[in-house]
Amino acid sequence: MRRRSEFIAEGLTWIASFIPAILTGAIISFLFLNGASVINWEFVTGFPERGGLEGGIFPAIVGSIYISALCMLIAAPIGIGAGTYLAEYAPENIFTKVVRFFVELLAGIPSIVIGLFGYVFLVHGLGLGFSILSGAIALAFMILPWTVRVSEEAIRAVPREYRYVSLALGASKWKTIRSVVYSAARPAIITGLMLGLGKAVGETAVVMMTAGMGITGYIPASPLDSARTLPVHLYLIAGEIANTSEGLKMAYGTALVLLALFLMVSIPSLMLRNYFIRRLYGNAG
Amino acid sequence: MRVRKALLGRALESESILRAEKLNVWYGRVHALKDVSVVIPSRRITAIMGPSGCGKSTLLKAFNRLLEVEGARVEGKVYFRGLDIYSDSVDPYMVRRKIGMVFQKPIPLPMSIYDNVAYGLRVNGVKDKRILVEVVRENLEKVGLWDEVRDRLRDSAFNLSGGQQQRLCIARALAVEPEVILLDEPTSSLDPASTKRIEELLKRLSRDYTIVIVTHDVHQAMRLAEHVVFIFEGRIVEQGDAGEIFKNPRSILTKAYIKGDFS
Repeated sequence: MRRRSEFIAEGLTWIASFIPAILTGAIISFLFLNGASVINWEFVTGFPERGGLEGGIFPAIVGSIYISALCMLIAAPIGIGAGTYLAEYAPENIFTKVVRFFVELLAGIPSIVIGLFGYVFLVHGLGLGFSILSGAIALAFMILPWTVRVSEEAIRAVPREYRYVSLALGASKWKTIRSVVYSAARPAIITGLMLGLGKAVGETAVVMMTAGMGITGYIPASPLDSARTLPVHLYLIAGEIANTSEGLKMAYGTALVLLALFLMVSIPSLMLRNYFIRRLYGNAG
Repeated sequence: MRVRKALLGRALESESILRAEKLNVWYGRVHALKDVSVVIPSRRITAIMGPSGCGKSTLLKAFNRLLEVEGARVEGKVYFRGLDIYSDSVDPYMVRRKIGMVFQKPIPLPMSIYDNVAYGLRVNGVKDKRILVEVVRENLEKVGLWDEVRDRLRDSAFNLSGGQQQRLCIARALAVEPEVILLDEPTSSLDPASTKRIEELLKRLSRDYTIVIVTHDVHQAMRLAEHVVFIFEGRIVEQGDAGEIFKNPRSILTKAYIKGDFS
């Protein structure tokens, strides 16, 4: 006979596991029910009119993609590089401990503070202005702790034996890292970068303070153009016109597109990750 | 006449290829090898025997400088063809190319069968695809794996059975053209049939390569070795011709170990 406490513990953890699933389901269906009606070709490809009450959100879609992509171009190599150093080369000394501590600390800094730093340092200090470049760099600062930590953990998780095998075949340390360690760590690194991208795509405060609100009458082209991202657009229309029912609908529609955009990136990358796992380990993986 | 000539050739070749002199190894404060001096004859199978934890794997890894990767401290000398491999002027990567290694568990790298065998050449700068294809085929043939995998070279190496994986690992080690192959209990995780195949393969390979195998299995040592090194608690107890040692061990420790009194 099972003890009562066992039964209760299993029951409670079972309930706890359902809460996030139910919440996710609720948010998605709520967005669908309220936002699906405004989504059409014009909404996705058109320009906002009457302050977002009518028209589309195309400039914000372009702005979001532009800023996120540039942000990943900055954050991924630095994250993987730092992760490689911490996992493969760093001696266990005070310098390494300080670096790790600062990475942890950066993760804890509120995004609005990073936004302020970006505003002072990038927008004005470096004279980049309110621009896609300022936004991408500031967002990269924000997600660096994740890309660094995930890369370090992914590289550490590669079995030591692979390194021994490679070294025993006469490969140097760097060649070993490049040829075996990275390919074995790739699925986990991709997953980690996706989490970082998810944070970047959804971030509002940092982008508002560095990329500006963007003038929505044109498509941003140069990295020095100001741009509005979907979350910023959502924030602005929700704050200003949400008291009208059509404004609220536009906000839901924008949220839905934001969600779709994220899924359009994350689902292929999960498939890519699984493809790499299959290629590495075959059916045995 | 030809037989005599072959025998003579064999005798000439059997001079030592690897030699350790007063080798001492520490893992942190643990003194793992104490004043070890051994001679490994060329193109023979040498078995390093001893109870677990006696230092036999440590001695093996001293021969290709893999010890320093694990953070061990090494004192003393190891000569490969008269060259001290621990001297400053020697490149450890070069040493490891000449002295290959096969590990206890089969460790296929997470890539295809083909890429596993080609790996050593690629990291050493060989890019020519015709050469790679040829080398992969040649070495898979050497270990008797070619007919089993020729149609699925692009499959992940993890899809092979344990015994096939270990033969793949041997092919991978052979592909960089080493002169010595070190094997650390290479059959301890395999079934009897796979073990037998590997043992036959090692016997065949000993015609062209110097083979040093660590084993805790006395019977395996008897089946394979022509030369035996017996280690106990980090020290060499006995070394020499296998037939001699198995028939008339000089030390009572060796005698007890061969009888199976401890392991």
